Amino acid sequence: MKNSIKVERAKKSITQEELAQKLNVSRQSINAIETGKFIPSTVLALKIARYFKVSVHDIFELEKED
Amino acid sequence: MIPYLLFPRFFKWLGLGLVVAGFGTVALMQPDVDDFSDGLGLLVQIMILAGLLFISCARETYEDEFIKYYRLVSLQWAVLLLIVLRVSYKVMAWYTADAGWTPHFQVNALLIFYLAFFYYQLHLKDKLMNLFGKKEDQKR
Repeated sequence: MKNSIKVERAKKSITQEELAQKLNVSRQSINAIETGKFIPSTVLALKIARYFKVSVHDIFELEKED
Repeated sequence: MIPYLLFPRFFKWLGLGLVVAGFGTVALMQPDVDDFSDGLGLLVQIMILAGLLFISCARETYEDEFIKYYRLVSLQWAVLLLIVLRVSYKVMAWYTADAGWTPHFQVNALLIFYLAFFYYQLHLKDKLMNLFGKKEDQKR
């Protein structure tokens, strides 16, 4: 699954640490999600989308192998 | 690991104190920890085991789903490593016909392996990746 969290972060000019604090998760979580090592739960995906004021589909996208 | 089985954060330091005190007692007074009639030896065993359990099960600052995933993976690796080591020791005991190879490490070793895997992934992995060139973007 691809995601555009890094792009959304760049638009808002916030670091992984700042995003993690806003979402009440660890910095490692954001890093792992961004790099595709970890697929977030539905709740966290919705929280991320809500924070960036976009839909979940705008951030997360299924790939062929998914 | 089920989140509701976790202890408050300060248990990490309490556990560390117990482990240090336990090993300190072993170094200074050298009790026989395998002799259950030796009260001090039994106390040291309990201190170290409880200390390791407290450190392992203390909450992290952000106890989120990714930390839970790390806990699960670390526990899986720890169990796997313990089984491989124990089987290897037993095979060596059989092969050499030497009872000295009998594995004596059990739960303590499991907790130590778990802690090593968990804290490696949580704190060291990123730093080592950065050190060896696989720089991960943590800034902007």
